Amino acid sequence: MTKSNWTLALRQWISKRFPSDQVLPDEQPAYVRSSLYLLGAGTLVSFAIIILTGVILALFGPQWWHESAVGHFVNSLHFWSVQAFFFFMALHLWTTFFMGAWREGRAKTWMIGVLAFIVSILTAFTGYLSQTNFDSQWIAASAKDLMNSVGVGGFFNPLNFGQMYTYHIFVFPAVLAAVIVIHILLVRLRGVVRPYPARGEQREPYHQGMTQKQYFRGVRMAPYDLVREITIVGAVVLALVLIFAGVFSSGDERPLTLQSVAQSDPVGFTTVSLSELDGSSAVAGYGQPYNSATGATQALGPISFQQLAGVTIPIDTAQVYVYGPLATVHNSAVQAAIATYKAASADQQSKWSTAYSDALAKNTTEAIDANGNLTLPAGDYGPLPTMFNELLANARSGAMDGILLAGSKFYQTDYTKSLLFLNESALPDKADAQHLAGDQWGMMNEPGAYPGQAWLWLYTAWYQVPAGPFNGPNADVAVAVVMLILSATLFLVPVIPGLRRLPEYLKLYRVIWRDHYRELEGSNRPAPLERPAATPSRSGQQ
Amino acid sequence: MSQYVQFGAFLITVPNLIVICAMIVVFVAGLILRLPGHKQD
Repeated sequence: MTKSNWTLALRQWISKRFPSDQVLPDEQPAYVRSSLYLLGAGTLVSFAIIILTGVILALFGPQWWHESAVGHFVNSLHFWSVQAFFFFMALHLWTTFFMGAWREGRAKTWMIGVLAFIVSILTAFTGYLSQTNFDSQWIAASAKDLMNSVGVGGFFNPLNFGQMYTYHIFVFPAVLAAVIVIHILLVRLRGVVRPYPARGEQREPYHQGMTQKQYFRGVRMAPYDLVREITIVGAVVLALVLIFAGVFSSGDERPLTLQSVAQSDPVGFTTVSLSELDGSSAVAGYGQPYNSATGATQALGPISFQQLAGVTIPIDTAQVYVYGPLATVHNSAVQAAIATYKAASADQQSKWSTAYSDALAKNTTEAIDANGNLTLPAGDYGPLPTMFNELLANARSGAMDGILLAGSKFYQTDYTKSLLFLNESALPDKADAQHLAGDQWGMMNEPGAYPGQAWLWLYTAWYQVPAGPFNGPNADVAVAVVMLILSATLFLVPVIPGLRRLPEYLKLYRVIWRDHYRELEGSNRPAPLERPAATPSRSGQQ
Repeated sequence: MSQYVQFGAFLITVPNLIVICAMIVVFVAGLILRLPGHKQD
């Protein structure tokens, strides 16, 4: 072998940087005795089950998990393994906080772990959007405002299923897996952090760059079987996930469609359609990224990221929701009605629209005649009844769902137009009835009797504050900024004075390492050292 | 639809409440219990 052998050089680098006795240790410090040390393993095996079930779901596709009993069971396994994952990860986060696990050169380990938590939330969020059921529709419709408010809605669009699906099954899991691997390697290579020093305890002082062997000098070690521990924890978590999936299944409420709404609420459908035509709908007055209006634009003080991002998903509501679908109808009377409406003055259009809207409001019985036309009292509605009765028939047949999704194309996965239409009335009405609205801790809730996204409580809590910036026209951007600050704070705990020493004052670590402290108190001799003790480091970040 | 429990102005679904309570219970149990199979004496 020569120095030019790249393979040998790589092998030597790996064996030097990742010693096998540290990556796969067979002994641990004796103070590692609390069951709380298992929470990281619980998180890891839950992640493994998520990946396994997720790959199966992705291979078979949405129809499979909606329509097949086996597919739905795998979907339930995926759902409950996600619940287990966040359950264990949140507890792991609590535990490592109370241990002050960032001490003595382990700041990066903590930060990478927090990064894993944040990426996990993004992965789960896009997963909820990928369910392709009512839950996905409502979460997408709700979340778009926050994304739009910070100016990213144009390229991270919750209403675009294809985009969210790609993020969920590839981009975020790949990033998360990489982050988790780095986190675990850091834990293994640096070793488990030592307990807070007891009063009068002598121990090897920490210094940057010390090896694990140096770090654990004087620490009593105990036999440890990492693979056995992971296997047992994995079996227990898998059994729990199987039981929960088998007993409780998972929610999968059918999504709303334009067809279902037009059939169940023809007056509501037509009322929304009319608002799309005359420009009084929420979308027509929304603003960026759909148009240049200002109805839903948000700003942080003088800066509007939403307006700065511009119109990146242009939607002309009259064209998209009325003229476009009606252009596919080969009916001379309908085309003549459209021509009449377009040729009329704005004042005349407004009079027709107002009269028609008033008549619709009085049709509380959802009455339609034998031809499928809305039954309205006589009035001067101009060409509107011809246009909207045809549009209603189009929607009731299911044609409009296809037109809004694919237009003149065939393959399409972007539901932005359909969801924006449904979000005018049908989606929020149904969500409100199920206590899924933002002022009902909506983002935490799940349709049916299932636990929701409890890990999002810190994000959703701000929407419950009854006053201030969280309940005004700029609520989403205010929540986004606050959460950015809180996430950064969590990330930077190891370097924030006061906060990083909080576990010392809380003293819960005395319970976690009680055997260790009892052992120290029981022995009247100092811990064996090869050199005199120094003041222990309490921060020691790298 | 889930049942709800009200805390002042806040509502929380029973399933979410169960999960949060379970987390606290598991954490406390983890504080009390030692790692199984770790006989170190």
